[in-house]
Amino acid sequence: MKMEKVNKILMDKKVVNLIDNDESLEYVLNDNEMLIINIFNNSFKSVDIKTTQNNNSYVVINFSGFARSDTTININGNVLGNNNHYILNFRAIALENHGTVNAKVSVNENTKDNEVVEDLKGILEDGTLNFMPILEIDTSEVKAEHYATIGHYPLEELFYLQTKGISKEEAIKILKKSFLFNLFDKEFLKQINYGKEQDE
Amino acid sequence: MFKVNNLTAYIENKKILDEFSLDINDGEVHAIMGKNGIGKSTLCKIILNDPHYEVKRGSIIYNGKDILGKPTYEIAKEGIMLISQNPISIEGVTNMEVLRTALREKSSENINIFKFNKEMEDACKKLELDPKFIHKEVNVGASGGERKKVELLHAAILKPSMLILDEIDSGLDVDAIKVVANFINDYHKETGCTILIVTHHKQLLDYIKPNYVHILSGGKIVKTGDYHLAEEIESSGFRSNIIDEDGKSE
Ligand SMILES: Nc1ncnc2c1ncn2[C@@H]1O[C@H](COP(=O)(O)OP(=O)(O)O)[C@@H](O)[C@H]1O
Ligand SMILES: [Mg+2]
Repeated sequence: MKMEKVNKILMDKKVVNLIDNDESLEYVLNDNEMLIINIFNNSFKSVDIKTTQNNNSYVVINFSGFARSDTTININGNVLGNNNHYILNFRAIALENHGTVNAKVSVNENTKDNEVVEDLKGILEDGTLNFMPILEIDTSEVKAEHYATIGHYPLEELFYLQTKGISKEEAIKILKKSFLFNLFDKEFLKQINYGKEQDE
Repeated sequence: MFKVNNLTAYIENKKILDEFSLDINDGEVHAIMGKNGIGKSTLCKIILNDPHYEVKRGSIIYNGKDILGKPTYEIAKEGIMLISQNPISIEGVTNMEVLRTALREKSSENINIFKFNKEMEDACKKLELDPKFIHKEVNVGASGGERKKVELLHAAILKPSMLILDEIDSGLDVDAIKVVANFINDYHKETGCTILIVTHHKQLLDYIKPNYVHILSGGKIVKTGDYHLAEEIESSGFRSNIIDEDGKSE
């Protein structure tokens, strides 16, 4: 996470931790506000998440979980003013059926010093995924990056773990956990308490 | 006994090993030397059944069992550990997690935390490695030398009966080579393990004296000697009178 231009310390920080969220969310940020949304869903639901930023604000959305049924998740970031950061990290493991993620960020014209990042990663087991990262940017005064990758568990990592005497199933469990939870802080991980009933 | 018989292997339709054979008695130390790109790492990875390689024929016997083509973790459970030339990093997975999982799979008994910590601390001291590494993500942000040491730390905990060291000396400075070699010598003395060393340089073999040195060329071993063969190679190179361009021994 880069935050060169934002002085985090002066910001009013709000953290939203949600597990198995099935409600649509909408947030409008005040100036000098920081919002972190952590979501872990053991089974994705079709929801809309919308954020609106004016000036000097910071949004991080960390969203991960399993896709088990046909779902569409719409995540919209709207940047209206100057000097905002918008970061979306999305991780999905497709177990069954089809998941669609529409991730759209709009940055208004005549704005400057905004930075937006969309990083979507998916792993396919027996399901499929479709990522649609859309940047609607009406100004050149913005730093924007987006990544979308969909694949399988990395062969090199599976091989490495197996050379330590770890079975393929256990190796996948390890990689699954790191893939889904690398985004989150300790606080939220404690709440998730993964490995109990969610254990695959 | 570790025994490779007439192993022929390909990568992307290119023949790398051609009727390769090698016998190692329990507790012996063997070194394989050979030019860049000749197939040394290929051999190491095939022993652990890396899915990238296609084996056309041959067998690999360890402790009386044919392990060729067995799932990688079963080969590891037989006691063979590979420390590869460039150990990869894995984000979000700590060394602790890897070792705990591996130990749990190895034995149904609960892990003795006291013993684990003691072994870990001793190994770190010998390796001149910060014990904090155990709680770090596997090789993330680690230098080449640190990676090799972390892998040896894994060995100290998992206690393989055969170590395959693929250029363990690459990326190490002179002092680190000494540290690593001492560690390997101690491990060998304590456990009586079998060791296969792949290296480019004689230097490592000055510290870890192998029983045999083999030259790999043209997909097979073309010459076997003792430690002095490594000296010959060092002074006159692989293209010298030891082997000709086709890799045939003279
Ligand atoms: N993943 C790969 N894809 C294609 N060719 C490869 C791959 N890995 C190795 N090779 C080729 O196989 C040959 C042997 O490589 P390697 O076993 O790494 O050699 P060494 O360890 O002796 O330097 C080389 O010619 C190399 O180019
Ligand atoms: Mg090599």
